Amino acid sequence: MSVVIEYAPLLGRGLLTTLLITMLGIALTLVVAFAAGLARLSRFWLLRAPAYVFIEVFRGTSMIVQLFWFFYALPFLGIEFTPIAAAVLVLGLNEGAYAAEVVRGAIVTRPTGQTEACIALGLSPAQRMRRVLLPQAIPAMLPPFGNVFVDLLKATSLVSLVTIVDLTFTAQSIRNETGETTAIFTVILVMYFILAMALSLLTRWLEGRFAIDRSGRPALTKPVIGGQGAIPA
Amino acid sequence: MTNELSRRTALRGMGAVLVAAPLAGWLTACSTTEPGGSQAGTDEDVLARAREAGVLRVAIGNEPPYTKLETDGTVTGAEPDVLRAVAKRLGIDDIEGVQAPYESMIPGLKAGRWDVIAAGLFMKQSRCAEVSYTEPVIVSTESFGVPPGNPKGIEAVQDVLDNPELKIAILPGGFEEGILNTAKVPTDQQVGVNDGRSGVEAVKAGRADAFFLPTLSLQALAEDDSGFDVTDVVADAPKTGSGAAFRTGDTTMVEEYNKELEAFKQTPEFADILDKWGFEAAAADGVTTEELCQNEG
Amino acid sequence: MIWSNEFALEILPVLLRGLWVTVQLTLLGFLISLVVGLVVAVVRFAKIPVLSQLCTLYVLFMRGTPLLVQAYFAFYVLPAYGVTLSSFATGVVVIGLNYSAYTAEVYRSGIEGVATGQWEAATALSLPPRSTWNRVVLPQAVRSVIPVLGNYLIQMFKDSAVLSAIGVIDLMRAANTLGSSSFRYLEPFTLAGLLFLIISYTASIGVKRLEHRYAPAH
Repeated sequence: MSVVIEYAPLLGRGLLTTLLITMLGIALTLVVAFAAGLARLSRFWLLRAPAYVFIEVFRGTSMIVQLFWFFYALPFLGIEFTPIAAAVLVLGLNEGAYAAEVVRGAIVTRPTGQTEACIALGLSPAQRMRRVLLPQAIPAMLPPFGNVFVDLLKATSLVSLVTIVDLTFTAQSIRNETGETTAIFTVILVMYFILAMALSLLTRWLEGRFAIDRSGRPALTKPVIGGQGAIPA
Repeated sequence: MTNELSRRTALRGMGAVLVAAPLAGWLTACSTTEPGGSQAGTDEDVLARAREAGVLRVAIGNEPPYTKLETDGTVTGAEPDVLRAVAKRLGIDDIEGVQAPYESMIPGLKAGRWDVIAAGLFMKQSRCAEVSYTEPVIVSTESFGVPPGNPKGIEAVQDVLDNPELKIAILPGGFEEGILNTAKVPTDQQVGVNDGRSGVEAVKAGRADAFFLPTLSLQALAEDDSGFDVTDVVADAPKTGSGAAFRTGDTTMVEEYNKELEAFKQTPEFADILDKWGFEAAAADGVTTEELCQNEG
Repeated sequence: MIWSNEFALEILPVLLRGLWVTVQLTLLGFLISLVVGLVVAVVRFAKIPVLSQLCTLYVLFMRGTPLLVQAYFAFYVLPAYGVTLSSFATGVVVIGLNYSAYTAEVYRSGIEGVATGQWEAATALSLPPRSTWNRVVLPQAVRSVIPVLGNYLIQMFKDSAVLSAIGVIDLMRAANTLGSSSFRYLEPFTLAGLLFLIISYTASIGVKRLEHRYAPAH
């Protein structure tokens, strides 16, 4: 175990990179989720179709393949990102594609009475979405979002395969340097576990904070059997 | 109702902060970072750019003594130390290391992920066709890492060919893989491992009977692991060597680099660096890139 | 240095061989996840002291840590304790156990979905617990979750690419090897992505059909 203490500063730096990528990834996931999720519900074919293709392509291929593609193949098409930017982009687009389905699902499952009432009140479709449907749907999105965020955190370990010095990469270096395989892998497994638990507790707290009816939780916020692509395809 | 309003406002506020803060951070981070280097395949002057940026991005393998990534992130090892010294003479302040698998080094170089490879990536025909090597810095030999006492008696590539039962660990994309392939050792006798440590562990765990690697790398691994032996130099493996590798388009860089490298080789510092890592400075005397590029594979 | 059809055609057979390994890996892993997941779900539902809590921890831990690090752990650490499996076998076991944590949750929702009347009826008929589970509860529970399990199978197919990092010669590894020997990554990775997409998209349409077929009657 002494090896872990000796290399603690190094692990700390790797951890920071992992946290940075996770946070940026979550931010991008949210943007992508709402953009693509709402586009999927648009009345306009020109918005709906690209959103559908985007979601299917990013959900249909492996994240690790996407990562290598963005990292090693895309530059040949003249588009180049820094390693961290490429990583965040892949994580955000991939998990965003899953989360877009969460957004869409949460909105389409609003009772039709809500839409009818809006129409009766003369609200425009945009007002209907912004003032009525979204505020109701967001609490329902939180539990599956929590699963998506944990998936994203775990997926950040893949960036170690494209030369980014995150927690997993650091562990491999220390192992290569010292040969202390068991200690180092055990420690980072536990670290990831703690991070994942913290992330779920955070979303759990948000759920409680934003539940539509805080006494009796309506069925719509019941946790989805989730993880790894919160709402399965 | 007030509760309802405050909840909605809070939700909206939190959403905005959650999204905006990190993204803003990312964008500013991006604008201050050096944009990812030259466009793939275009003939941009890497020398001018590195001088201006003050840094040359180098791919290394973290395989001492050829290359080593210190725990504080600095790059060292025989080749990077020479690269750093020559870069200084070229007016480039420092080098910045990226640890990459051997198999990704050339594709990554071509994709503009790094400016140069200085990783003990040995010269051979296929590689020389894809990148521009400078003159050699180190010339090296190959050995097998085997269980104590070498129970299977593996000493030459021919031994591996003679016994189809033997499994040999190699680094995918490494020079040794090329040697085995050229000798027509079937791929099912080859076990790919990620790095030096994994190779040693593969031999100790019985996943492989031997680990084929440069002699000095194996000796470095054996230093803190008495659980395996390093054989004598493998006689039927070709003489190998390496130098820094640039993109084929970077002709100015290679010319200037060779000039400065030649001058640097005359100074005592060159011999000091090689000595420090256990190489012989004289080994590269009279050996040319052209010659080493004839290696098959 | 742009796309070359000729090169793409040349490497396709190698990629397809890799794909075949990916498929085998996925199916074997799925089998493990189905069996282990069921055991975990039943133990958790039966509220056996200690054992149930351990199963809960198992599910949390498997779902809270990255597949890649789990694979590294199994591949590099276990041999030090005398367990040495090939990279393919390690891959199958790791992904199987990883997904068993998800299938366990799926089964649980299925078991909880079985109407209480069914349990009561079984008790009224004095069926032994074994028969209650095997003949009454599980057939109904499993049937209702088949489409969800199908989705996890697809997810697993895509995730299995991670196991190339411990040396499984799958589709991802094949693409990587082709890329490094030809020094071109564009075609191998684009094709690998397309192969993943074609299979998982087709499979997801199949699962949608299953959803209709196994949809609850109401």
